[in-house]
Amino acid sequence: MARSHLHVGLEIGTSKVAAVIAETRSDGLLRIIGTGEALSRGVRKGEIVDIGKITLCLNEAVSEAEEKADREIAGVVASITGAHLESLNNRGGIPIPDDRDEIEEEDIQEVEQSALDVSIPAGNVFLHTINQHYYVDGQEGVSSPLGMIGRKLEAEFHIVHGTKTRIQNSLRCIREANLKVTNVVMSAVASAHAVLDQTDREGGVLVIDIGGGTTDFILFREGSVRQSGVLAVGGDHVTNDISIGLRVPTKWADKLKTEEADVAPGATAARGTVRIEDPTYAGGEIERSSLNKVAEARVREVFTLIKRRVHFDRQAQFIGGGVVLTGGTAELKGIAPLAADVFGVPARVASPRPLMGPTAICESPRWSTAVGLVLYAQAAQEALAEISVFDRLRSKIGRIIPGL
Amino acid sequence: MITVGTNERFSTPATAVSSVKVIGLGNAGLSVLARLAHEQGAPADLVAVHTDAKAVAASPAARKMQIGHDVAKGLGAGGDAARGRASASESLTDLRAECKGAEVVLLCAGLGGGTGSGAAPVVAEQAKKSGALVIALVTLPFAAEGSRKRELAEESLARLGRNCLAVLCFENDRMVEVVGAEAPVAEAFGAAAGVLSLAVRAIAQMVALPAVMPVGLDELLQMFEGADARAHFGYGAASGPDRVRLAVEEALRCPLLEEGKLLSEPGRVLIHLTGDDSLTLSELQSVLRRLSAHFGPATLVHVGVANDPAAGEHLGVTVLGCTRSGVPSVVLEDEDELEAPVEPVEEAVESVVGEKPGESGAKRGKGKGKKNEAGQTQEELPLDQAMRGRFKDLDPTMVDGQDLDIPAFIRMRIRLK
Repeated sequence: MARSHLHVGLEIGTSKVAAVIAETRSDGLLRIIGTGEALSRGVRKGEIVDIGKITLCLNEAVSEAEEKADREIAGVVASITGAHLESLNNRGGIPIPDDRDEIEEEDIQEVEQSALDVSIPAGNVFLHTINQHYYVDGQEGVSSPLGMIGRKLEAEFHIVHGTKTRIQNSLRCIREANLKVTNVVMSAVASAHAVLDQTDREGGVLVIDIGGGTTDFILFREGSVRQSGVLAVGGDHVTNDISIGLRVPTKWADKLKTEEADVAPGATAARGTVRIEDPTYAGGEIERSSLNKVAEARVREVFTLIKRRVHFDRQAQFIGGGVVLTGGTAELKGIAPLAADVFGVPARVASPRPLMGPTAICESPRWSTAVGLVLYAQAAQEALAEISVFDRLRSKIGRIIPGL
Repeated sequence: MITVGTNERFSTPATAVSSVKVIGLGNAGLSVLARLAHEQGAPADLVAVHTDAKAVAASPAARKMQIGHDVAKGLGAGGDAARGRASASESLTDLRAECKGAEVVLLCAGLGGGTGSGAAPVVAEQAKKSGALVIALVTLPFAAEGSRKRELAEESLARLGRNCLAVLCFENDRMVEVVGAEAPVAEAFGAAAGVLSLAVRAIAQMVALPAVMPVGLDELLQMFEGADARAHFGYGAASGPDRVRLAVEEALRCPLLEEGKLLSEPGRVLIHLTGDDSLTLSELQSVLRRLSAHFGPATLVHVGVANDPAAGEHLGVTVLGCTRSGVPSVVLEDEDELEAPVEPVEEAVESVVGEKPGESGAKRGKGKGKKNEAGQTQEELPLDQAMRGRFKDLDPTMVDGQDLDIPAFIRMRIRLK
């Protein structure tokens, strides 16, 4: 019985594997009881390329979390990322049968099915079908049509789909580690759960989760998901650019990135140098302006591409909450001013919302996805207890991804 | 402040090399300097070294040095390598002082004569002792000059190899093909010096100019490691809307590239481009696409791009390749100073074009338009591969026709100091 209240979030990222164990207490609050982290190996741009290596990392992170929580876990909610994930918005519609007027649960399920009647590439499967809002007899803005009277039910959905084999590959290592995958969540969806509350979503917000290998983004407008996606560019690219541009090995490039680089719009004119203390190194002076230019160019490009992908210019007036940056690379100095400059709206860096339990991890944007996964799992469980929103979701995922 | 452990192997300076000295030695070396001195924006200090006082005085090089006052008495070495060597030995301290402060010394000389053959190994040794990385660019005598000269050159070459990180050999016989067999002798020698000066300038630019896409010294050294490497060299420059095609064609017209070896034998090729801010990524790709059709299937391609504000609209394309002629045939009689050979430097960013060595394309053609089987395996551009760094083995992240794995600042043409 205790296990049903245990939620485990597992993020297999390009730079780290993070596991969070949380339990729902009797008062309904979620409490983090254990966390584990391991350097990630065998993952590139969010996708697993070496199952053997990543399974070891995964075991390490999970064992650490289990030890801290003093629990043994059996199943996890896993995040998925990678450039293969795509999204679209689609409207479904069905007539309500003549023999009744009231909208029933089965109608809601049916309208969702009708929205899935879209063509996606062969070999792709649906990952999320996120309801935006319903229309009853053409009336807009219905959030819960159950029990309403009408002749026609329509609904708009944000649909996320991805390549089946790639999703399966990402999950295979979890099975290799003898864990069950109870649910699969797009990283951006999970991170948004961690850093946003209902008010943020209502006000309109663009969440950008910049990780090591990918940048995941999700845009909320009027409380619902309108856009989401993955760009296979992340902090590793910043490191690589620095390494090539300033001709330093990756190890230094990474240090320069995290400790010295400033991507704020004005920082490209920075003066002075950064000294690298190493006897084996001939020219140990790095120009700050060059470092900042290289890093800024990359991050600015990422923001610009996302701005275009989500058609931000058309939505800006609905994005009262501005841009929320999270993920490990969001710790880059000056990243919020840069985002504000590119998007023309306020931007801030966000860590997971405070939870009970060891709060130290919540203080870093690096943990957003993993914490978001347990929040997602909890929300899903609550929904399951009430109506079958999650049930439908799970049955769908269960159907499309065998072996869960 | 950044501190990194000392155990990390690292051999390439992270920024452009600040001081490059070009030492021209002997008649051939001085005529190379004379050409360099008249070119604009040569990114190096030129030092003229000769036993011949008149020749030194006449040199337009900024720094001049007469060696062997006592031994040669202000005259040439008279084709006597021993006198050349003695002259250099007499001026050891001066030579070392002259090299002081230079990070890279490019030593040019004609082997086969007195001063070049005799003094070059000594100068190289002193430069090395002063802390510089030494790369020698030498010409080998015409076959018609006789076997004695050839032996002299080979012996000098073997000595040079001990103190140089790399020795690039340019065979006079092949270089005069620039002007053709009917050309006057003076013109033939001029052509040889011309080719050599282009090569010196290209290498100096590679290491000294602010690089958009740097060529590490290690890459250069790997290409020309060992005393038995024979250089292929082509250079072309052009401006205007069609500058890519023109520059590549000019580079390919260079007889050292038409020898055919470059096209067929497994080896390394370095392609280096210089240009000002107007140089675009698509031009780089176009250059590589045009050149890649000429490489053998197992050729390793290094790519570098340097920003030369002095170039103006001119796009410069340098193609440097090498093949090994085998073990040097000369056994040194007096092993005056034995030093361990320089360790090969760590693998640099490089890309393999094609997969297996082949015998294709060994035919001699005329200029452009040569094709070989390798041409069909060139879909993947070597440029992209070299610039993708740690992502080179992964599927590219293509967005709007751009490979996002290539550094953003390169694609945006942002200039770094």
